[in-house]
Amino acid sequence: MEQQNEIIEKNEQQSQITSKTQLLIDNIETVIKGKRSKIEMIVSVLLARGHILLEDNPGTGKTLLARTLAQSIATNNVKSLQFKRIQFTPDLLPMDLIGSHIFDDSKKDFVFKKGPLFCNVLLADEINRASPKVQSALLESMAENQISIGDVTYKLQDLFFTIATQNPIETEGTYPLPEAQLDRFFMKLSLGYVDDETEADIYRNYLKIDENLHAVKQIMDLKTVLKLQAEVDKIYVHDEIISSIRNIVAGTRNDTNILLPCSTRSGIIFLKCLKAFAFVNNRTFVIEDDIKTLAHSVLHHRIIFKNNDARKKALAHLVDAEITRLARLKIYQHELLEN
Amino acid sequence: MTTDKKNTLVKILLHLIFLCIPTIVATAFALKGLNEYYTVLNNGWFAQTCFFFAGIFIACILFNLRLRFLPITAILVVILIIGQTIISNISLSEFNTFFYLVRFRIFSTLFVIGWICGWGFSRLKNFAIIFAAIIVLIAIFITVSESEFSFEGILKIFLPVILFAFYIIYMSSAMRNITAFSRARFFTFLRNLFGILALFLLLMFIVGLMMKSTFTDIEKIWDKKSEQKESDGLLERGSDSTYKVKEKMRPNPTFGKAKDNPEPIFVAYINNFLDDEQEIPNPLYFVSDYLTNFDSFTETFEKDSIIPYNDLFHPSLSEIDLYFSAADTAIMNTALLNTLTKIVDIDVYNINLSREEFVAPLTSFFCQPFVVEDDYKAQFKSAYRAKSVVSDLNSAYFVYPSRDQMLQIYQQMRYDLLASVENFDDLPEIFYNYYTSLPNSDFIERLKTLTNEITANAETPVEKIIAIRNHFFAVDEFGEPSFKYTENPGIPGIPSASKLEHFLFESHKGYCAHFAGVTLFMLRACGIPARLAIGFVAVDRSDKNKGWYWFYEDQAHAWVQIYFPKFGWIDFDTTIGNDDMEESPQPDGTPPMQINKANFAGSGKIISLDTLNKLIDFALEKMTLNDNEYVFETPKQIILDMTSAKILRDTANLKFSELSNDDSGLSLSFDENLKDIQITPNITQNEVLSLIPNPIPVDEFRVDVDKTEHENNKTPEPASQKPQNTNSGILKICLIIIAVLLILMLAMPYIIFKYYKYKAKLKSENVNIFYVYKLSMFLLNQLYCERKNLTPLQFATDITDKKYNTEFGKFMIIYLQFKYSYTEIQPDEKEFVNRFYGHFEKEINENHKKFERIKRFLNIKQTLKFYINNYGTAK
Repeated sequence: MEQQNEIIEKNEQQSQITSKTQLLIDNIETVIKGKRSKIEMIVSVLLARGHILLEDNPGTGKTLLARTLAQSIATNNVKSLQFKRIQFTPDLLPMDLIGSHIFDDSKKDFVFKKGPLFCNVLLADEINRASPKVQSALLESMAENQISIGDVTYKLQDLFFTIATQNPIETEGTYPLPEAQLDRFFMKLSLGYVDDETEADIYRNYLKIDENLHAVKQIMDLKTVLKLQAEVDKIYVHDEIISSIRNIVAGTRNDTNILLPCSTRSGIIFLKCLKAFAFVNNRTFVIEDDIKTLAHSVLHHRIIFKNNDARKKALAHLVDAEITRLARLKIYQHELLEN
Repeated sequence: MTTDKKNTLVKILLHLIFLCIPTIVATAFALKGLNEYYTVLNNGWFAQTCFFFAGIFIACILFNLRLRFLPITAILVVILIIGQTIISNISLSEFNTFFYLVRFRIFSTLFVIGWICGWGFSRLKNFAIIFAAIIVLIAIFITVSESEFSFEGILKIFLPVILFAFYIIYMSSAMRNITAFSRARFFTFLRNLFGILALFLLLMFIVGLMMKSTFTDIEKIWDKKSEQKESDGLLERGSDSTYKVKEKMRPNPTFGKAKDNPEPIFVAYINNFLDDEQEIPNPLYFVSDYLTNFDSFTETFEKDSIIPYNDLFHPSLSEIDLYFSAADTAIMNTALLNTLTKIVDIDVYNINLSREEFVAPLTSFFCQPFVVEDDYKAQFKSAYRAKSVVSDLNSAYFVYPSRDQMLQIYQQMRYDLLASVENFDDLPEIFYNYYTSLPNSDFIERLKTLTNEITANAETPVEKIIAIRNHFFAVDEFGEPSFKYTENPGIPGIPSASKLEHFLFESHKGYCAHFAGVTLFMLRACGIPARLAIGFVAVDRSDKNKGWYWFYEDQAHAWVQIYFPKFGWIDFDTTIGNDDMEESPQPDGTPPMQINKANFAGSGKIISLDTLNKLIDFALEKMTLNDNEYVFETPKQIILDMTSAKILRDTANLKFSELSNDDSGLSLSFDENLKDIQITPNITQNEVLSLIPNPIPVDEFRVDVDKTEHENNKTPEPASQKPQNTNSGILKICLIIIAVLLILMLAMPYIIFKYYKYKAKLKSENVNIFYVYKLSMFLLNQLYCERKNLTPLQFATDITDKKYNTEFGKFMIIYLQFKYSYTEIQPDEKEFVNRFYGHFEKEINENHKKFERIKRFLNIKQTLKFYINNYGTAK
């Protein structure tokens, strides 16, 4: 009986936690309509302790989405989670990001004035408009969660989540992101246009967009987010799922149409994303659907393809093969339990 | 490059081990079998296998090295042609050249077959299928042409052949997929191979078990239908299950043994007695044919087309009209007998003998079919009378020592008479040479030596004959007969060795064909004219009906006839008594003692009817009167007295009033007074007519069945019967197998569905969830709702739930949890799973009409798709 109670309790806790993520998603959806699956993915990245890159044409709601998410978990309030937004421009300097030493008259010394990077949620808008120098300044912060200036290393906050947006490479006045930096982003998402009905709905209620945005409440604090992130780590991943990840990653290396294949780090990131996504979807285990949904967003931007044809098909082939393999698998849970 | 080389080597090795060697082994078996039947092959199956092996081996290596087929084969053909010209030009003796040429041709044929096989295996994509198809076709052909039809026999041929064909197809397709050699793959490959072979055997076993009863039934039908039709025995059976005596005979490993068929083939009365009181019947062998031609290659005794002094009277009975006769008095001259002869009357009542078949004792010259009396119509199909010129000396008692004193006296008297024949000098040369000719072979030389030994002390032909007979009847020191009768003498150790030689010198076991064949050659070796006859042995079994003989199937016989100048041909038999034959059933039924002898028979047309006085004005076209036959060119008008006549059409009785003008028919009269009409040899037709009474009293009038009607009845018959008697058994089996497979195939989806349902209902821990999943997926798939490339969850939520309004997505989450995580399934979830399927099926059934569901469930293609999608190896 006690055991059962425990299980029920645990379940309740579980559902409380997961309901929070659902709440978060719902919250964002009040502003961003018809993009639930994308929102789920973005939240997964947040919970996987990663960063996300949104790429699309101007006006598809990238910044709005980023702002809404940021607002839902952080405010400008000093005591709460901090949200900063930087609009990247070609003349932006690294200093503008990380901060600079300023001479303090009273102390007769140079004092470090922290830049906007020292926050919890950073919205790096139009990141590819900045020069490579500035872009690389982001690198360390995103990868190591720290910033080094001279011989001093400044630790960033426990929660540091970057939402970067960029316009497609082809548009004018853009500097392509270096591979290393792209690799830091857990996912690259393209929002795309909404369906006709939703779009019409948006036009009907366009007045309310700003209103809604301002009305977005912060529904999570730092502690909650950290707790959720810890929960994600507990998600169970079956060995076969892991081998599927490996097969996909290794598959890119065997493909002659791929110039730069996936690294092991990509695999780890993929695994993290899968776990987070499963969590967001209210599951305690990863299934093949997760792989199918996430593979493109997580892996595609890390790979350099030889030609356009491969760009479209190579990864999808690998994923399909793995999905087929997994679907055909006959795993008996009880066998494992007995062993 | 090195890996390429290594791979090629591995490929060659694999081809050799898994394709060539099994093919060679199979070929070896086939060749061994062929060697037993074809003397041309000359008993060299091992060498022949080597030829084949060389061909397949060389071709396999060459073609695996990616050499081109045409140039290399062209070279091979050139080499073979050169070889043949060299051999044919070697100036050895003509025979040797021919002999080597034959050998070389066998070699080149086998080599080329091997060559093509090797090429096909290593280069052609679908060769294995063609190859297998050819083998199976050959097997079918052999089975169809096989005489004995038995379940085991079919299994013996088909199981290995199908297994082999299957193996070759599987193996060659597996070979094609091997591009690089790896140990793991190799073991998987082996495991798959053995798994599939085991499965196949199991399947065959199950099919065999299930079909066995059907098979045996058909076997029985087949046996009844065409038992011995092509068998080794002396009789063959026609489509209407009547017997015919074969026109050839060869000593075989087994004799078509008489089945338990107690029904006689025919019953005959021979008016041949040793005494005037007709107390001691003297049975005579019934001759069907003489086999005077011997083919020493196949050891077959055959009918010769040209026989000097042919005394065979062999009319086709079915062509003689009732009560009319066929006769050949010239035979009396060609039979070459002039003393101690008599004319014997024989009445044959046919039960199971073919309607055309005419058998009668030596030397027959007359035949007249007659009507079986009404009382016996159920028992006998037809009957005929025959007359034979019989020598007083001829008797079935010639050889067998008799206990009867009268017989002993007779035998002694006969011996004395025959002993007077000392030589055959007076015989015509053609005759003597023809009946004493011997084939040339080692066996005959050996036989001659033996014969000389046996007849060393004998001087006159009769003494020699008796010496030969004694050789076969001799007993050894233990009182055991040295020669034995058996229907299953077996084959000699060396397959193509002479069966007769084996019989005479080694086994001493055989049946009539062996005894008769060897005796024939021994007699001829002594210079005694002899020939081989086949027909029936007459066995006197009855004390009651003297002169009546019953002939059973196992009395079909082959024996020797010896010619004695003046006395003619005499039957001579050396076959050791067959125990089975002596135990033949006692005669059953009573023979029609009174023979319907029509003294007058006339066929013609009715001109007019006198219903009042029951008279018919009859145009007589043909007539027999006391066995004399008359044909009138212009019909003669006579008057028939029908007062006591029975009128018949076919088998139906008619009234007089039912007759009409222009009916043609046959009138018969059994009037004893007609017998007294004396017919002198040179009487004219008109004079004969004046002798018979007018009106003539008629006892029976048979109306001819209308000709056109007859034809109409007849024509469809052969059409429907023909396929039945030749291939009906095989056809039936094939149809049954196809039908069973078809039904099985159509029912397969439903069977699988039921199986999963059963499995899903088992409430065993957690496993049933898997089967519920499987069952649901199978059901959906069978109703054309396929998962395709979607993930199971997507399929469940996006397709199924939307289409059918089910809870499949919810179930799928539970299933996936079960599949991908360790968390235990909650009781409520379990409960959900347990009741899920019922609702699910109901919802789905609501969406599909019953007829539609049934139709879709019959689609095996959909089921295959399911398994290919779910179990095929991923690319």
